[in-house]
Amino acid sequence: MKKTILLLTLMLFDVIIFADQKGEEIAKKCFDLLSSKDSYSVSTMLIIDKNQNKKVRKMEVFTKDSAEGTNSFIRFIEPADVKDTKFLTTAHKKSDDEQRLFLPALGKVRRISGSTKEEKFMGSDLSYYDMEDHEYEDFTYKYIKDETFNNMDCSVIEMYPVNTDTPYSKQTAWINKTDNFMYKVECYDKKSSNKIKTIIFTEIKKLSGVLIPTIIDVNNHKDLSRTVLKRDNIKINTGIKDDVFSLQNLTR
Amino acid sequence: MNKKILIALISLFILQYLNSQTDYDALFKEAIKDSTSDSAAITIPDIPKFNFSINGDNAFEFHIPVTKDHLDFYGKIKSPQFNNDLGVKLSYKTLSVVSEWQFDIMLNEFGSIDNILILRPLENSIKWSAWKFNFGAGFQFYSWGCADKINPTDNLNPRDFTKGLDSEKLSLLSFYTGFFPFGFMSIEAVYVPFEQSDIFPVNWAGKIPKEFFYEQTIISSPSPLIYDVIKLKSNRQQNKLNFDPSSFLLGGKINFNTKIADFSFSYLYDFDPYYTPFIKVKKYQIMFGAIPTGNYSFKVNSVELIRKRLHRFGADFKTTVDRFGLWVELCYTMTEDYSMVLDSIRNHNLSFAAGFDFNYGPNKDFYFNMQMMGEYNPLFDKNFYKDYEDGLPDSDEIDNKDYMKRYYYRAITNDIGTVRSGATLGLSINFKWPVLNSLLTPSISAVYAVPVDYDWQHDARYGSMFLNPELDIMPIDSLHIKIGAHLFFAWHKLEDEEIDIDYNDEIGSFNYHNNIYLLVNYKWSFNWER
Repeated sequence: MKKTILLLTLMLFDVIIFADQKGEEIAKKCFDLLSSKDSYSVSTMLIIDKNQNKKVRKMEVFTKDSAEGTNSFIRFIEPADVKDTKFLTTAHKKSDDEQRLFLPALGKVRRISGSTKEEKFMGSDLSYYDMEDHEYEDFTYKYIKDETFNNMDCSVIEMYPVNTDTPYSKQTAWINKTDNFMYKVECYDKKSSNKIKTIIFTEIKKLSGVLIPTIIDVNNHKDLSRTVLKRDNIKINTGIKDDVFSLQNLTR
Repeated sequence: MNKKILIALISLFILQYLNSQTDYDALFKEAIKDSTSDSAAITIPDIPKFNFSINGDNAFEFHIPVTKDHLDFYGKIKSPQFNNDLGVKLSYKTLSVVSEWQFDIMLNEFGSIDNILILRPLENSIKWSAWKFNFGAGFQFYSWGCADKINPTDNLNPRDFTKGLDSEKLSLLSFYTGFFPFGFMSIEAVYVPFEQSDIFPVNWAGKIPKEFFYEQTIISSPSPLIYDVIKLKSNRQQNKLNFDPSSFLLGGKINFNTKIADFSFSYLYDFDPYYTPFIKVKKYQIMFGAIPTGNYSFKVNSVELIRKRLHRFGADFKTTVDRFGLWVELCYTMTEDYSMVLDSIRNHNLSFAAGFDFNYGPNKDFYFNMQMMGEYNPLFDKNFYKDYEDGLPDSDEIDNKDYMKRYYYRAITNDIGTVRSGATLGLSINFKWPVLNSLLTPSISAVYAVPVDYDWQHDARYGSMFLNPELDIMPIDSLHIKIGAHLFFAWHKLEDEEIDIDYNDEIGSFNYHNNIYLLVNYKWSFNWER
């Protein structure tokens, strides 16, 4: 018990000493970037395992911000195995998000567990945690250095999660000094503290003043696999109706 | 005719093959480049409103029989077969039209198309959404309940029990309305214009002991709800539609989907899938050889097998706690004998399922699911062999019409409805361990059920078991090569006999069909959107 209290105190102390003003300022500018209220895209995921076997997942993705967070509705298009499977996430601030899956083969809506954030999203190298929208308050920050990444002058900061129910002990982010966008993130395992994932936002498009990543490249150093997510046909702030994020739409 | 079907099938395969060969490598090679561009000027296409798709699900199954003395390939389970589901779906905004068909080719016996080709409608419906309503008309599938596979409240669609325990649902000609007044609540109603019955691999008439009959009389009834003994000998005829409007079904369900839990309450005005006997007896003089004895008795003159009405009241509840899914599902079924005093109608029953599931292991890829299920039959008649020694009527009472009628009803009514105990308790488990990026997925599904509260002194039953170990190999998306086994067992011990397989048990009756199987399954889809 004493050991646990000591460990918790040290962890808290760690978080406090890790936080610094410069890191916070850089992160604040990044999180304060204009974001879309709603979005639509057709996303294609190419999943390459360590033996270079490839799999493709294609889906239609709707998102919309609410007072509780970002709601999302996903309809799978490919592969045929999962075609027309629909996935509805209803965000909640004070409790776990509600997640429901519509299985067309059974014609059934299943409520599923929302707290398995480490799980791979559709077998890709992105976890459900990676797919979530995060807030500035979710982390504490520490400035590390300035570095050039892909010909961009970047600030490198470390981000430490405030909550313990995250899959990572820390994330290192490369933030472009010009547009304040996060172009690269390295994720470190909560258990081993080893670098397990590198996420690179390879292609960014500016739509109505909002920077939108359209190609996301994820290298999984643990499984030696890679996922490339490509978002096409993106539309933002089109006034997607709340009905899209409803059970009626899930069963339609 | 067959040639045309074959050409159409081959054309569909070619079409789907050509359309499934999108060059994703090229797509991504071009896409993966370092660029940040301002796309304000880029023209963005509209969200597609029109969608047309052709879908297929093709499976070849080969089963190796493993039960001694039944090493054959007969029957719908063991015969080599090529199962094909083909369908088209057209949707425009909130309107969709679906037409899906099942073509199963079975290498059962040649010489009759009936035994080689099974052609069935799957989903064939028109669906439309307007405001807070969803509507559906045509051949449809429903899925009530939240439990895993064994859903006590899911009784709308008829089922085909001829292919084993995991029975296929048959599409139901019906009308559906869903009303979604609030985000957390919805109401559903289903109307079925006439009853569409299940398919059982059982000759129900054959289950009635021949010795009960005075003469094996056949009743032909004008009522479409009454089936005569001879008709029941053919399973195909048994599933004939009767088109009687008075045989309608009506169901309703109210669903609540809250932050904490999903729960629902349902009601279904249904038909009993099993028959209820209506017995007529005839007085006859007992003969000693050709010599009349002057003593009289009553034997069965005829048995009409009738489908009786049921009221089904259902409730289900599901929540998630951390990474665990937890559920309970109940269905209370009331028969037409509301006070449960008649021997001629089965009593009410309560069936339930409760369980949990969770993911674990690396990346939480592995899946575990455990469920307890059962059935309670209140006031079950377990004293038959106590009241009738050796199962025979009292010789002093055989000239008593009421006594004999009651004897026949007690002997037949429950048995023909597969009610063999006051309660049944069961446990099912499912494990799945996908490895190597889902290239290999070993899994085990198992069910064990044991009867309680029955006449164990006459027939001691040690429960029944279904076991399905399987290895699913997925070399490419949507192609599955499955190697596994379907194993069915039920054990019992009759008085003064050895322990043996119980073929009267619902699971045990499939023991003949135990097999090791190889299944190759490919799903494909062609989509066109505008």
